[in-house]
Amino acid sequence: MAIPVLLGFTALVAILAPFLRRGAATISIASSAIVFATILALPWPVEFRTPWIPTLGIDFSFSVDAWAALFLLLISGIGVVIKGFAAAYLPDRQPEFYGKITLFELAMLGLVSANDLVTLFLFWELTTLASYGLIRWKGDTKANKAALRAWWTTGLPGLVMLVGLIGLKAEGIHQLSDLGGATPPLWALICILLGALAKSAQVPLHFWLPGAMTAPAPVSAYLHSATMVKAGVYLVGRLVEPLQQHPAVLTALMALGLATLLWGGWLSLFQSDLKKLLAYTTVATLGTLIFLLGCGTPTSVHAAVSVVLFHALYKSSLFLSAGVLEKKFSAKSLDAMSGIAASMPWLAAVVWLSGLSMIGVPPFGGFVAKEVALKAIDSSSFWFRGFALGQVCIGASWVALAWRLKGPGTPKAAPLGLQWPLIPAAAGLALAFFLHPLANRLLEPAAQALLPGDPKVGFELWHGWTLELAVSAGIVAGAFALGLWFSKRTSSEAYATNEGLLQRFLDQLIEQSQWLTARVQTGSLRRYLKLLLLTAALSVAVLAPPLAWIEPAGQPDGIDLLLFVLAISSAWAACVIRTRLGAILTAGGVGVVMTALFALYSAPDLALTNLIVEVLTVLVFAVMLSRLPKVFPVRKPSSHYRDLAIGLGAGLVFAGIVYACSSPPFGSQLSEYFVANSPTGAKAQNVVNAILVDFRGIDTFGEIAVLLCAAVGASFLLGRRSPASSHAKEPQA
Amino acid sequence: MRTPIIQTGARWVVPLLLLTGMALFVRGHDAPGGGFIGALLFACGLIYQHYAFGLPGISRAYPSRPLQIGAVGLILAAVSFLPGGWFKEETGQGVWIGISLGAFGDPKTGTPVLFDLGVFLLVIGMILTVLVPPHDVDDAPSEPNPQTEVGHR
Repeated sequence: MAIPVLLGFTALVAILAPFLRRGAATISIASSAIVFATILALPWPVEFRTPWIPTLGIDFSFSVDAWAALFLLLISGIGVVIKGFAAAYLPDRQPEFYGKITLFELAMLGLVSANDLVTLFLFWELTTLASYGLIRWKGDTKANKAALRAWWTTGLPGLVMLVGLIGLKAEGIHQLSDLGGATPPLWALICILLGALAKSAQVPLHFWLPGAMTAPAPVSAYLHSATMVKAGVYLVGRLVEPLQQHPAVLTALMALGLATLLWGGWLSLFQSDLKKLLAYTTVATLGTLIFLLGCGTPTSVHAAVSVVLFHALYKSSLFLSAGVLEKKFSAKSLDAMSGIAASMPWLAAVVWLSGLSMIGVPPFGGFVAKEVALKAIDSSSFWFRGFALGQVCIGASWVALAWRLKGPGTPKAAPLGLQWPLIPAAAGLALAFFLHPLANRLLEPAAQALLPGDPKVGFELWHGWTLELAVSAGIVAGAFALGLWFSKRTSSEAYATNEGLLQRFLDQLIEQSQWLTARVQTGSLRRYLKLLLLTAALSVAVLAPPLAWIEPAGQPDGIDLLLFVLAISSAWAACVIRTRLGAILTAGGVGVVMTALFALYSAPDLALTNLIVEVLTVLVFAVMLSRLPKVFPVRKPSSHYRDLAIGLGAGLVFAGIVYACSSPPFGSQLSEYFVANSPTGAKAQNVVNAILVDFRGIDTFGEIAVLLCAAVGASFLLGRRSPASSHAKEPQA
Repeated sequence: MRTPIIQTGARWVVPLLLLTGMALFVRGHDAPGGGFIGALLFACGLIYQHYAFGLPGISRAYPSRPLQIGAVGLILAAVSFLPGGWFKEETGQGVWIGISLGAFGDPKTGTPVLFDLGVFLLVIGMILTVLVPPHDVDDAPSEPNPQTEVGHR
C-alpha cells in the first residue's frame, strides 16, 4: 500500500506546486524527503497490485525489490539535493519549475517501481514528456531544438519498446516478475532493449544527451546524471536474467556498452564547455553500465549496482558544481576556470571529492565500484583493455578540468543555498566507510534480485594487493597523465566538431527528405491518385494469397447485363469526354448504376446512401467547376496510356478481390445470428441498421471518429484559403 | 449562385429535405434509413439553403460550429455506451426505456437511438465542415443579386 500512497502524494505535490506562490520549493523538497525516508524504512521486497483492465491482463501493479529500491532512493534522495539547489539557482518561475520537476520525479518513481508492463510504459513515456518540459526550460530556440531532439531520439525507440512489450503480453507475460518463469520471445526482448538503450544514450543514439545540456544545471544534474538516463539501465538490469539464454545478445550489449564508453570518453577530452564535458563522461559511464550488465555474470551485476549508486552521487555533485561555476563566475568553458580554487575553496573541494570518486581513488565509493568491475571482466581479454582505456579517458577529462581550477584568485564569499553539491560528494566518501551495512541492506540484495549467484568478490574497501588494484592505480596514473597533457593545451583548439558532424548529418537528412517530398508531393491530384492506386493494387496483388478461380454461382440475367453495359459505357464516356462537367456527370452515372445494383439485390440502405452521396458529390463538383477551366488540358498520348494502364490494373486487382470475397464458401452463421436477434434483442426490424448501431456499435464509433478527424484536417486545409471574393458567380453550365 | 430559380426552389425543397432527413433518421430502426442517410439528406438541405440564401446571422459564430456539432455527436455516441455498463453486464449493451405517447404510439428510446443521434450530428457536422468552409459564409442579404438575374444580359 505504501507505494501508491507515495506516488499519489508526489502527484499531488506535482499538481499543486505550480499554484503555490511561495511554498513550492519547500513542499517539493519535503515530499522528496518523505519519499526517501519511507523507502529507506520499507522492508523491501514490497508489492502492490490492483486490477485495471482485466480482460487485457493489465493491472496497476508495483513491486519494489532492492534494485528498484536503489533507484527510488537515488531519485528521491538526489531529488532533495537538486530541489534545494534549484531554490537558490533559479530565482524566477519557481512554482512552475517545481511542478515540472516533481512531475518528472513522479514519473521516475513510478517507472522503477512498476511491475506491470503497461504501467511501466505509462511511466516511461511520462518521463519523456516531463523531461521535454524541463529541457526546454529556458525557452530559447536552442533549448527547444534540444528538447525536441531528445524527444524524438528517446520517444521513437520507446514505440519500438511498446511493440516489444505487447509481444511479451501476447506470450502471456504481463508483469516484470513473470519474466523469470516463462520464456519470453527474443524479438520482444530486443525491441525492449532498443527503447532502453536509446533512453540511456548508447551509441549511436547518444547525441541527444550533450544537446540536452541547454537545460539549467539542476535539471542536467537530475535528469542526465542520476535518474532519467539510468531508466534504461534499470530496464536492462531487469532483462539480464531472461537474457541468460541468449548469450549473443549479451555479447552485443557488451560491445555496444564498450563502444559507448570509448566514444564518450574520447569525445569528452575535446570538450571546452564544462557541461558538455560532463555529458560525454556520463555517456561513457552509461556505456560502462551497459557493458557490465552485458557481461551477465553475478560479479559484473554487483559491479553495475555499485556503479549506479556512486556514479549518481559524484556526477550530480559535479553537475551542480558546474551550475555554481556558471552562476557565480559566469564560467562555462574550461578556459575560464583558472583561479576558482583560490576564490571558492569549498567548490574546489567538491570538485575534487567527486572527481576522485570518479577516477577511482580509495577510499572513495567509485574505487569500490571500479574494483568489482575490474574483477568482473576477464583480465586477459581485449574487453578488459578497452574498459581500462575508457576509464582513463573519463578520468583524464576530469583531471583536465580539476587542474585548471588552480591559479591566483580573490576569495569570494561562499554563496548561501548553492552549497548543496557538498552533500552527494561527501556521501560518496562517507558511504564508502559504511560499506558493509550499505552492501548488506541495499547493494547485495539488488544484485541478487537481478541475477542470483555468488560474485567473485564482495564490496570491500581493500581487497589486498591484487591485479585489479594495480590496474586501478594504472588507470588513475594514466588519467592524471593524459589530463595534465590535455590541460596544457587551450581547450578551444582541441574542440572536436562532434556537434558539427551531427549537424551536417542532420542537414543532409533534411535535404534528402525535402528532395523526396518535392518529387512525391507535387500538388497534382492526378499524381497522388496514381501513387495511391499503384501502391494499393501492387501491395494487394503481391501479398494476397493465391486465389483459385472460383466458379461463378448462377448466370447473370437481363437486368444485370443492362446495368453492366450502362456502367461500362458511363466509365468509358467519363474517360473520353473533354469537358470537366461532362466527365463529372458521366462518372456519377457509374455511381447511379451501383445504386440500382444495390436496390436490385435488396440492400435499400446501401442504395439510399450511395445515391445521396453520389448526387452530393456531383453537385459539389459542379459548383467547384466554376473556378476551373471548362475543358481538360491537352496532354501527351503517352501519359494517357500510362494512366490507362494504372487505372486498368488497379481496377482489375480490386475487381478480383471483390470477386474472391463474395464467392462461396460463405459462412452464414453471422447473418443468421443477426437476423434472429435483431427483432428481439435489438428491437429492430432493419437488420443492417441494428448491426451498425447496436451489434457492432464500437466499429461504427471508430469509423465516425475517423470521419471527425478527417473533418478537422479538412477544416485546416480549407481555412487557409483566402476568403472568396464574391458569391455572385454563377456556374457556367 | 443566388439566382431566383435556385431560391424559389430552395423555399420549397429545403424544408422537405430537412424533414425527410429527420424522418429517415427516426425510422431507421425498422425501415431503410438511419443516422447516416438522414444526416446526408439533412445536410443537403442545409447546403442548399446556404447556396441559395447564405446562412445569415450566424456567420460570426460559424467557423467552429460545424466541428462543434460533429464533436457533440461523437460525445453522444460515446456516452451511449455507458448506460450498458451501469444497468446491464457489459458497457455497450443496449438499454431500452419504454415510453408511450398514447395515441402517437410508442417511440423507441434507448442507447442505440442515442448512438444513432450521435452519428446523425457528426455526419452533419462533417459535411458542413467540408462543404461550407467558413470563408464562404457571410451576412449577405438574402435577396437575389440583381446582376445575376437571367434576364439582364
